[in-house]
Amino acid sequence: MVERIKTLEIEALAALNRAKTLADVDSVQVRYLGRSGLLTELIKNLKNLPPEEKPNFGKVLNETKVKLEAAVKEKKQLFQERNTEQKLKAEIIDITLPGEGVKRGKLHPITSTMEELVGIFSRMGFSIAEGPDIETDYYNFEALNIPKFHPSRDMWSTLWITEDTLLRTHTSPVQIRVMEKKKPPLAVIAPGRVYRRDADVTHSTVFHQLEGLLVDTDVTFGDLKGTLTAFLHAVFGKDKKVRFRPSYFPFTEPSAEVDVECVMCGGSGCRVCSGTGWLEILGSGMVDPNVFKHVNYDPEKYTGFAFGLGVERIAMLKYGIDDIRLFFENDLRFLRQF
Amino acid sequence: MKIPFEWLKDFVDIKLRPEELAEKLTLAGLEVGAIEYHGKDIEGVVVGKVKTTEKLASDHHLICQIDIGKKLIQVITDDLTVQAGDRVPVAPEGATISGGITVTKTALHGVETFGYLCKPHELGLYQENYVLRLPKYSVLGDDVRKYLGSGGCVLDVDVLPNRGDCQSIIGIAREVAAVLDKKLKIKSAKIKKPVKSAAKLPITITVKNKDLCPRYMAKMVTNVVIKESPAWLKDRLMLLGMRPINNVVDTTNYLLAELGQPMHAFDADLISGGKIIVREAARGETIRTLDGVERKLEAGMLVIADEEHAVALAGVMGGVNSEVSSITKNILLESACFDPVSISKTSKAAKLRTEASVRFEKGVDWNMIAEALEKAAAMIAELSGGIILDGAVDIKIKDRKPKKIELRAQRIKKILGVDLSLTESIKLLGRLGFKKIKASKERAILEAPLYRAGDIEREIDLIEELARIMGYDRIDSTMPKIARSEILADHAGEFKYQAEEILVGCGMMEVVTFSLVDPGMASADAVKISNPMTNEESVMRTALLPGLLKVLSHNLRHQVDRVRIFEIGKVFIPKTAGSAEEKVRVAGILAEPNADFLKLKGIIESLVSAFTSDWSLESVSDNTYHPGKSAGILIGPNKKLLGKFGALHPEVTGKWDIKEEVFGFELDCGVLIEACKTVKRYRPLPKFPNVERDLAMFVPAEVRSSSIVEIIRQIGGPMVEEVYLFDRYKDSQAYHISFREAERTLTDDEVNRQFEAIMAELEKKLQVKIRK
Repeated sequence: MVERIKTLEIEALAALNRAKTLADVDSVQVRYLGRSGLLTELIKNLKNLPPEEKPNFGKVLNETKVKLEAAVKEKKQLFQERNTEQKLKAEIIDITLPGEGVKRGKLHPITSTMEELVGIFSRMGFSIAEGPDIETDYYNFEALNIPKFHPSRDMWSTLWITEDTLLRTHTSPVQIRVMEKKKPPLAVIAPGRVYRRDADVTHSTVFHQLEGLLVDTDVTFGDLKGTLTAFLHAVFGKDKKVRFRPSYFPFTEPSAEVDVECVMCGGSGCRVCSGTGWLEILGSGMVDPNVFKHVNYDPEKYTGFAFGLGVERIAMLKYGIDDIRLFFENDLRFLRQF
Repeated sequence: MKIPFEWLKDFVDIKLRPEELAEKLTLAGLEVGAIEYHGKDIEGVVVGKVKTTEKLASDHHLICQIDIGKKLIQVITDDLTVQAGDRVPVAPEGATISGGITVTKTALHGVETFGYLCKPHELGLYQENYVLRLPKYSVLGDDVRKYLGSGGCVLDVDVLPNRGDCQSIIGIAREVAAVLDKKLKIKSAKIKKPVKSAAKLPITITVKNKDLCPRYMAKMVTNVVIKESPAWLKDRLMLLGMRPINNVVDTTNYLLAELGQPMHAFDADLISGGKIIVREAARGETIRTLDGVERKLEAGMLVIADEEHAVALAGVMGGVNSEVSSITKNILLESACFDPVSISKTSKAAKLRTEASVRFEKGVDWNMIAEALEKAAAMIAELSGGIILDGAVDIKIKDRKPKKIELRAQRIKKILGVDLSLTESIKLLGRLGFKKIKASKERAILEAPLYRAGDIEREIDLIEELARIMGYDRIDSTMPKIARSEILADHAGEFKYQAEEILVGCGMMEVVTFSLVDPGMASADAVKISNPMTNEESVMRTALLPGLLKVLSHNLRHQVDRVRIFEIGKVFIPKTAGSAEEKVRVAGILAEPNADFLKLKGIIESLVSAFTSDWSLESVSDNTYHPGKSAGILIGPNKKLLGKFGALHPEVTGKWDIKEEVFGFELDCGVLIEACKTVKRYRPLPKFPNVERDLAMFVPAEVRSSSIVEIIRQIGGPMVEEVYLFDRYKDSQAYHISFREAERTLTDDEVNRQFEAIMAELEKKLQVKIRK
């Protein structure tokens, strides 16, 4: 009897081995383990055996059953995996075909640059202010300590509308507009369009500036240096050297031109930095007491610093663009690159 | 400002190389833009004389035959002012010009050129668009370097607009001495003791307007012989990029550069009536200035006149009628000071900026007026063999006195943030010529040198000078505490970020176009620029769409199609003359093969619904748009017009030669920003289930989708929770309807009743045919 069981087991395992498909495995399972399978019949027959033989046969039968069931399961799994694998293989697609749906557009490089710069100052704690593009002589010049016929007016080639109104030549009038409305302390930046009567590969009649102003009781030139150095490091990288050199703007004193180590040549001198190793990025200075007087701030009590920078210039340096006119031509082949 | 390095050394001992000095000056606020070495890389350029010129075809070029000593060569130049007889620098084939460029033989329109006529900058000199003219005495075929100055090094210093005192070699020398902490040597051109005469000035001088001419000095040198200047003088002038003329004119030019005091030499025998009158120009008066231009004078312009007519435009340029010439015998020298504002106005009105006017505009050194005059007379006497008449005229308002200014230690700390003792501050400022009058520990009184009268008036000016001379690098960087009285809201900025994000997400590229446009791109009453660069940039835009069409047209011309672009920017809606209301708008266009109204409407829906759900459409009449494919958008309970969108009118696109249908929109951002300020309120989620039904039908062409939805809502009543069109093919439309009651579960029966009623009403009212 035991022998018969063993033989069955060997036959069944051999049949499983021969199985080539999941169906083959199924038929082996039916033949031996099915409701009237060969092994099942033997188990059914167990009750007819003499009591003393039952335990021994029962044990052997059960062992065989467990073994066969495990073998069937294993084989089935093998074939199932193989089937899935084949199915997936047949479903391979061309992943290099283009994606469907709307292709995202892009922001203009001036906008993305402006937003980056504004973001840096916002994180420092500066608020945003705005002013009109069409300005009066008073806000654009006089309140900024630039009287009529002063030779420093030649620093800005102005587009005039009437004798008294003009297109703002810088974003600095926003300083006056903010100070007229608010009392210190204040920290604002003013992004916007400005206009000059000037056009070549690096100058455009219309361009963008970012202005900044910080006024409080104890703002120093050291604070100006710290703030603008932190800003330039955020834009150009912490490893870039920054230098401050004396300059002149009628509305700040002392005034400073802020240079960053040339991003193209790393300071060794190239065409972009005219061989100097430095790039002029920001105009800045301590707010001139005369400007405070125009807005009724007490210059003995309050001090502050102001700065301004050209956004196109930064974008040109950032992306290596050598002609400012490309920004305003809006050729899509240009805009798609950013 | 050109500063020859060797010339500078007349005044200061400099041990540094030019590059090292340049760096120090730059960090002291005198930016050295360039260091030029004259003739450094010039090789083989020779003196030539133009024999003949002839226009090249219709081109802007001349064909010149040039004698370069041993032979004649043919050269083409783009300088149309070149004339036969001119002596010019010729770079023949094989010669090297500035920048190490080697000249080769080429041809233009089939005409060969065997060399090149050099402009000043191409010989390492000053920037100018005309070919350099060499002096008459230059020898044909000579190396041109002989005539370009002594081959020295010249620093090009950018003098800041407030530093009138630095518009001279001595001015820069004072700065160099201060920066290097050295003494200034006062020494000028090498002049032997001149011959003097005790005779009085035979000319009487009257200053009519002392406000405009606070000081006028004159001196005479008689028996002069006008001739060429000595080589050292010509060399120095050429280093400055100035053309040597004769010993008298060269002297005033030389001293102008060295001392910063403009002077003028008149031929004294041409001064009519023996009188010089400084007065305002009479109405209708004219003068022919030294540049040969006949100028109409205006009231308020100051002139130097003799008894009969104006002989000079004061402080700007002399007149031809009193010009020093080869036969001049007696010289009247003028050294004066004029009101800066008046000079600036005159120079602007006459469109004439000269070496003299730029200096008077910024103010000259009061003391130098006399000093320079003495030097000029002595130098002319020596160079021309003349005799100086002893008496000098000096008509002036009261002498200018140096300003006294208070400096407080606490203020230095408050502005600069550094601890600097007053003693050290006074010492540092002393290097710049500031004198201590008195000082305590906390405050001092300093006297500013007279040559700084133009820019030093207040304590803050002293503090700036202090920071400058000690060096900005000595001030430590600190971070300010940023305290604000309030956080200013930035609705406009936030709106812009969000709108940009949505439109970019809809596949649109952002563009940035000029707010100055061609008058044809704006409304007729647009704000006009009175001094535009070009007509194309002469008015302020009144809409964004024309700028976008210009961009579209540019791209189509360059074979870039599938254009989806937008811009967010200001338009300027004219109010009264010259003023405008500045409104921020967002506009976009769609120009691609499958573009249609609904594609555009999808974009509009994405954009508008991000800010408000309370909006509707209306038909509009606007000749920018196609009358049948456009709509206006109304916002909020007051139905405020947000803007319009739709197919652009073929006439609008036709102006740009655009043939295909273009879809566009232009919306007012202010209206949207206002709309999104409405506070959003929460509605609880439904507790009971809904019942859904789909309804398909054939719809006659004239029936609007909105009418179908309206009937469904009207007949369905409050239990209709939602209706939308979910499928459309030709004239067939399918709507999805969701029914729900807030407080109970709906039964199939009641929903079916409503649904039947809806179908019946649709068929009856709109003649649609329900598909069952």
